[in-house]
Amino acid sequence: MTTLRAEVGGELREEGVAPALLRVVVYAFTSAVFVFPLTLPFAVFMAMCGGALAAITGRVAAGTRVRTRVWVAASIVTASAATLLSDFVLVESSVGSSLGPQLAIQLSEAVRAFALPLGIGFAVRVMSARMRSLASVESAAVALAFGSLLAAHRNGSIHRPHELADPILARGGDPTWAVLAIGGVAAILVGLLLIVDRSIVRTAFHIVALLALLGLLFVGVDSEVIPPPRHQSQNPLQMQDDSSHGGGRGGAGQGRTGQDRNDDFRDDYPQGDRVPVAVVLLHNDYSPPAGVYYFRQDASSEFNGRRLVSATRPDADRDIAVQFPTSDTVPVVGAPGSGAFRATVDTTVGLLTEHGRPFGLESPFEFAPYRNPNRSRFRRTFDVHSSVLTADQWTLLGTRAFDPSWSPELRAYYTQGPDDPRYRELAEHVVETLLPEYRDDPYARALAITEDLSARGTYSLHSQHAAAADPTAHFLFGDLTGYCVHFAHAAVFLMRSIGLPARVGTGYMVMESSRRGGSAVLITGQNAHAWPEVYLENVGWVVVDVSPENTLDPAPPAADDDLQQLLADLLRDQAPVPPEGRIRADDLRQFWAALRFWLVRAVAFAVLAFVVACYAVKLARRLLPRFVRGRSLPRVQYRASLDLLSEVGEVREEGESHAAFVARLSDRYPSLHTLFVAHEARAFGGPGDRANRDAGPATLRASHAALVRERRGNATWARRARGLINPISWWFTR
Amino acid sequence: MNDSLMSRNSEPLSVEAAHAIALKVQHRLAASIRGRDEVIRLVLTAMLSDGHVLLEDYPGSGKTTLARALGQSIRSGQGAALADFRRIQFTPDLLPSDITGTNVFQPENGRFVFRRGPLFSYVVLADEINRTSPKVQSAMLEAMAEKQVTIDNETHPLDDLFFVIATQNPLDLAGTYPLPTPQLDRFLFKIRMEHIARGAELEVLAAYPTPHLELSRELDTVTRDEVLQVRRTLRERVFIHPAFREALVDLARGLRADPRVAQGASTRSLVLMLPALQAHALLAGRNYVSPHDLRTLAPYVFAHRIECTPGIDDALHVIDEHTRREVEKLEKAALRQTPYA
Repeated sequence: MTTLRAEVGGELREEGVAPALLRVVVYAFTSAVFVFPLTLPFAVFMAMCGGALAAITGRVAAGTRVRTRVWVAASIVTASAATLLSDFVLVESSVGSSLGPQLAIQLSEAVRAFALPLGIGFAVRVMSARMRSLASVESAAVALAFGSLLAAHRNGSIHRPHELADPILARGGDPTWAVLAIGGVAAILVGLLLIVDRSIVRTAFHIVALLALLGLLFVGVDSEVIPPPRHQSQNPLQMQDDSSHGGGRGGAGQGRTGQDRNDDFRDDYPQGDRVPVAVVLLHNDYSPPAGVYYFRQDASSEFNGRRLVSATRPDADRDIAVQFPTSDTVPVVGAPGSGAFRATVDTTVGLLTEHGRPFGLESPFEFAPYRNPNRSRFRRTFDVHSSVLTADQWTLLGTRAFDPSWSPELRAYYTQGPDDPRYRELAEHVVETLLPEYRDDPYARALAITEDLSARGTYSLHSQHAAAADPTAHFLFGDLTGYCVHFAHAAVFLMRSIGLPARVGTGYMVMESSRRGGSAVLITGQNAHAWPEVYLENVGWVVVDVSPENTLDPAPPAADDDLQQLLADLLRDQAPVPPEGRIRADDLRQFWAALRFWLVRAVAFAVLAFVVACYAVKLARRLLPRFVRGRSLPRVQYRASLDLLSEVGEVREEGESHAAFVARLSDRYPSLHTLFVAHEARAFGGPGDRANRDAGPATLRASHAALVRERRGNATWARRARGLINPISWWFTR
Repeated sequence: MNDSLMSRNSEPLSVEAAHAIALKVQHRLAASIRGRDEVIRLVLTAMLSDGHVLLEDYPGSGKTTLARALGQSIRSGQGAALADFRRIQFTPDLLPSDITGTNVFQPENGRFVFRRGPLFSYVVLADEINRTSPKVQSAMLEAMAEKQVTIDNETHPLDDLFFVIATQNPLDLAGTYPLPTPQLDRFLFKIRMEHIARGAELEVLAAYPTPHLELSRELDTVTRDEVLQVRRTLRERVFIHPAFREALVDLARGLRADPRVAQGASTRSLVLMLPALQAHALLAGRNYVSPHDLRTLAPYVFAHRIECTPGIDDALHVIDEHTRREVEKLEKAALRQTPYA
């Protein structure tokens, strides 16, 4: 086996060809990984070449007598010069004008991407080859490259616009596996470095690096931002606590099923987390009058002596949909018709977590199935046709409360509240503040009540009302500190006390501003909400929300725009385009196609060239003895004879000396001895050696001819033919 | 180099003539001892390159026969009064004067006269050298290194041919004084004799009742002066390519750098190696040293000179690894280009 030798610190260290090649692979891949997020695909390829070249030249340079610091300085100069050159290509107008801007940018990127890994890799290679203590730099570089690639995807974040995840998402794949695969490749590369080195010290360094990498991987695949679909327990005993799991503040949390719910008042309400629960696509550009989207999932209208719960009357709250659309559209019978006050808005909802019933924008009148584009991501997807309120507050003034079709029982049902007279006193007191012409207007009265609560109330997730017999009264006539359920109940009870039909709507509330101009709305656990509603004739249930001016809790963090856009694109079954738009899926595909095209040809050409070159060498070695005269003849003739023997599989074994080899073959190939002795005497004999006289050109040729005859006798015709065809038979002549 | 030899033979022999002389001895030895061709060649190589050998073997393996045959192959020539062969059985109570000789008082003229010990001969078999006390060992080793003995401050030179075959039993170590590595360094070769092959053993038995030693009586002998001439010839006429000197130094450096080796080979061993290589080449009838010589001799020269780190048993394997590499390098270079273009 050929070995590379290098004088290293006074001691000889040898490295086989295979380890050197492995190192070339490691360097090439590491360089590519380093520049991958930073530059163009072509430049990534150039970086690969630069890394490979660095591994080769660095090894050769380490074998010379030039000092390490000189090589390091040279590599720094090379890298700096290349950086300057790439800048120059960009800045110099003549280059840009002659090549065109695109080509100039590509050239600049390619030069930079080729030279930086070359310079850095060269320095690392020289240092690690010469100094054992610096060997860790090598594995640290590999670990750093892959770590930087994966760092952005820590905690399983797939939504950030990163080149790694986006092309995979664009094809509907799961980036987790890609991240794992990259980690695996990194582990293999470091493992290769481990195998390559025989030094214990280096091995220890590499193992540490490998462990660090594995740790990074462990952190990297711990998925949190978008949890995998989880199956909720259906145990009825846990149903009461269920809403606390999803963080549905108003009680619209995920996981609830059917009517069996009990979201009572609580003293400490958990802050909803940022786990996305759904994404909604708006097919019409709808801006709600109040600037807030309300997604109603449920309503509480039945007074149970303490608080409002879901209706048990069949004729109440008929606008609440109960079942998801599966194969057919599901109409909502009690939904308000689209009159002068309402317009139709179509939306598509993709549920990321399990929900007990569907929800839609404000007043859905029809749910229709929608093909799930990504079953691993979305639990349910459906279209919603909603009849949304378009009228502003002034238009709604003058409408009457109650629906004419309602029975007296239903009217009483929607105005039922606690017997506490303080509600009515407070409500009438509030209504007194209205201008006289609005005092009898139902909508104005409702607004006055919510405005009053907004002005006086304090929002807090932590309160002390749950233990009271009437928590709403304890809140309303107490410190007025509570969360949305308190405010909603207080408002509804106040409205009901003065004869307004009101109920508590639950679901999600999203600020219109969070759309950020897009057509998608991301709903997270934080958006869960409960709000008061009042019924107006010909309009239906109208949201009259309380927004307390004082709050004790910190403002929730802003919604994640990128995640919103990504999930929306997934729901639309479109390739998510990264906002930077550097690598689009098409670009990547074209790049691969081009790469494959050239790669196939390059490989074919390389193989062909290799075979031709091998035959050329084989022929040259065979014919050389005919043209050589004098001193080199014994050597060339002996080598030609060895080539002949190699063709039929007679090769010198590992560790066998030529003398032993010739002795081993002396039975079958006696002529080889003459040729060997002539060669050896020429090589190691003194200036006037005996073999010079004994073995003249004629003797050598005769011996060679004898060897050819001996070969004919010892090797079959087929074996000889096979040897003749083999282009690399001479490789085995050692 | 001996003065008297120089004066008697101003011109070295030709390589062919020297080879013929060496072959005579080799034939005689081969006729006397069966199945020991390798050992015979090594012992001859050592004698011709003016070194000594240490045989590590079992009792009854033919070492005395070998030494005696070697002694009998050499005639004194010109009526010298030296014995051709002496055997010294080393025992714990041996004294230095027992081997070197001593001054004996002569009453008739009232003077001390030196009486030579067994060292004053051409071939000395030092049997079980590790059985005697260090005092005798060091006297023996001084004689081997200096080719002289000193008694009562008077130096007596030994013969130029003086050649020692020492033996030690590798198994029975109780009550022995093992030779330390620096003393082992005085021996050119340490040869571990394996049991001979089945066929050779049968031949030995077939010769009964006439020993082989008797059979070889008819073969030609050589004179002491001829042996010394051969020694001189090979030094001057057998060519050592410069690459071998580099290979030797690289080999020694490689061995010293090897983590498995605690103490590497000495520079002296490299110096001793050169004539050994020449002798080995001459025995093969070559007038140049070939990589094969290096490959063959390196284990015998280095095995007793290096000390391996604890846990490494096989010094031969380590040496062979390094030798193989150097030989491979030499042969590769030879196949790649012709020297002295």
